[in-house]
Amino acid sequence: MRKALLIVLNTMALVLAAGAAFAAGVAPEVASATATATALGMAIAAAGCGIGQGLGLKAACEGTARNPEAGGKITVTLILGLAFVESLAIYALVVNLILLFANPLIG
Amino acid sequence: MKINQKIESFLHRRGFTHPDVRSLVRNQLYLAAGTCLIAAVVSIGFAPWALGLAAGAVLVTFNFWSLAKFGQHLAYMRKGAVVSLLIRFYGRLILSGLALYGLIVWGQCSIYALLAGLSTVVMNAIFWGVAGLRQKVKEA
Repeated sequence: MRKALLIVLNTMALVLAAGAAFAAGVAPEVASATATATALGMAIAAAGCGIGQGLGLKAACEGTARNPEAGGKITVTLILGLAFVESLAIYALVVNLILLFANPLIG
Repeated sequence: MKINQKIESFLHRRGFTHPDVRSLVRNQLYLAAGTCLIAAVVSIGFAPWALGLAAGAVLVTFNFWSLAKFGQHLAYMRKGAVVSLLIRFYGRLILSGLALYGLIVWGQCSIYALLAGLSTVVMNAIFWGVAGLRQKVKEA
């Protein structure tokens, strides 16, 4: 618990420092809020996608172990699922990069 | 078709041993090539949206190539499958992030075109699903 709290505080401090650093011509509170939102958004997206990929792989491994003959079909389905999950992570990355560097809401 | 066979034998030499995975990657290559061609022809020269479209398609094709090459052995691995999958996933994500940073910040390319280019892999998966469904309906 203490470790988690330390990590959260550390991240907040880094994000606030980054917000102040890239705030050129933008109100500091807007910049720090944007930086916080970006960091949280990317963290949630990456963690969710990682968990999703792990769960998908677990199910595929179990399916292949139970029925090795279905391994081919399972592999294709697994790859398609992983590609979907990965594209979601990439979309989140693009949205976060837009928020940070090409934000249409800030001038 | 002859070109399909040529591309599939090229992919087989590159380590894509699973036939279905090979055709998935082949379709993705076709989609990326078609997208780049459309971007080059329609923009006639250089345009930020054409750069975004082509770069998005190429980037996601590299991602899919790497995922498919590793993924075909994933379900058969006896040890360390999840760890190696996650390490590769985050590695690819970091590299994609650097490329996207360059494209958005330095390249100033169109975001909508970039997202459209990145969506080619989703289109590929949807086409694959629809084709499989049609085959099932024909067989029934």
